[in-house]
Amino acid sequence: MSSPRKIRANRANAKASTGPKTAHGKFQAAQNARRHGLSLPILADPVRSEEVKNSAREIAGEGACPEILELASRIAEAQIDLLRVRLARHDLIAKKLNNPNYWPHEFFVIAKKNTKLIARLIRRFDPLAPIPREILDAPENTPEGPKKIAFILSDLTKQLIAMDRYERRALSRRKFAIRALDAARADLPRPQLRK
Amino acid sequence: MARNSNLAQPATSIAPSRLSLFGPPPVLEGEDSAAYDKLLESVSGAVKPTDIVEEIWCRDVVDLTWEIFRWRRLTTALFTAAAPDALTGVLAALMRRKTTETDGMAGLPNLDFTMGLRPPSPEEKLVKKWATRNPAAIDRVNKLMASANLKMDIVMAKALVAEFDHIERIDRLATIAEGRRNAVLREIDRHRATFARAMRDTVRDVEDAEFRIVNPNVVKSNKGTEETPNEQPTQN
Repeated sequence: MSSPRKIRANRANAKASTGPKTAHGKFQAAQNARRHGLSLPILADPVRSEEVKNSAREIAGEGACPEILELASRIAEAQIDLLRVRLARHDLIAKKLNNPNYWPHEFFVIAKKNTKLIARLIRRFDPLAPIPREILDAPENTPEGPKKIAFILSDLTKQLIAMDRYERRALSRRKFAIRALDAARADLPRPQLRK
Repeated sequence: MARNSNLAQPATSIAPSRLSLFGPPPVLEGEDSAAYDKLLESVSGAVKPTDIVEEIWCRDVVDLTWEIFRWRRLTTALFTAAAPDALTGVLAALMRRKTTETDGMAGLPNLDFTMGLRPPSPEEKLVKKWATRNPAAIDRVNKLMASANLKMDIVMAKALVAEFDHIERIDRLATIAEGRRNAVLREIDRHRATFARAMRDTVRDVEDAEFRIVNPNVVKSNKGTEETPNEQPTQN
């Protein structure tokens, strides 16, 4: 068991040596846990919250009663949340697609395997031994066209599945919100409906 | 195909004030944003959304249709891209080309050792010409395939096997998009039914208000005359 003196020293050393020092480092560290920010409620963001209000007014129409406005704001909230997810997914794919030096994960795996193979060959034979065809045929250029998109989708499968879950939830919320609005409008007295 | 930036420009048919509710069009790099606009216009023109909720759905249908088109195009393109490699494999067997194999290396995979850059094999040269639609190469490939009683289906099957993982993933994305589009269409049906019912009720109310009961005695006494009968509005 460590002595209290040793524990104190370890703690003091840890405090002195860990954590980012520069403002840039601190900013980067603050973003460590952030992945896509899609779990944050829309209304927590003041800008989006304002968008929800404006959109709700547009959905409810002129001179809508508070009940309708409330239901419309549920639709607007779900719709803006849905757009947030779709935009995040679009950005994720577009960012990789626009990267001219994009190198798929599968290529890294092949390169790693080939490096191990070369090391084994050098150990067993001569360093100037012929290169196996398998290594010569390994992909060396960044993929283009449909292959690139296919590799991007493969690499992003995990993130895309997570985003799909958020999209599904937002779609479900929007569907029920619209149904509630339709039901409320159908229950309104006729003159209000005609207005 | 027009080359687009990371975030596509808003479609011409979307007013800037409504961008927060509809978002930018989901056009990726290499896709034609004009074709997207055309699709949006044609669907909006055909459906004629009656309110903002229907506009949202209309946009959803267009976006999902665009996505489905994208995945279908991608699947076809992957098949096309994989076809030459698959054909090379088939032709290698047909041209009875024996690959150089080394042996006596326990623990190492079966490797083909070639010094320096490997020159293209005869079947690779042939497939390269075939891919550029060279008539002589096409004829030679067809003859080779016919000699073994094979069809191009075998090449496509090999291409499918080579790209199976990618195609399966893309197919799943297309299935999700199709399911969502169908769900939106069902919701439009339901919404329009509600809207139609509300409209029917309103029209009935209006008609009821306009409807008048004609006093039968007045009609009898005035029979044969040109006078208009005395009418009373209904008491609802």
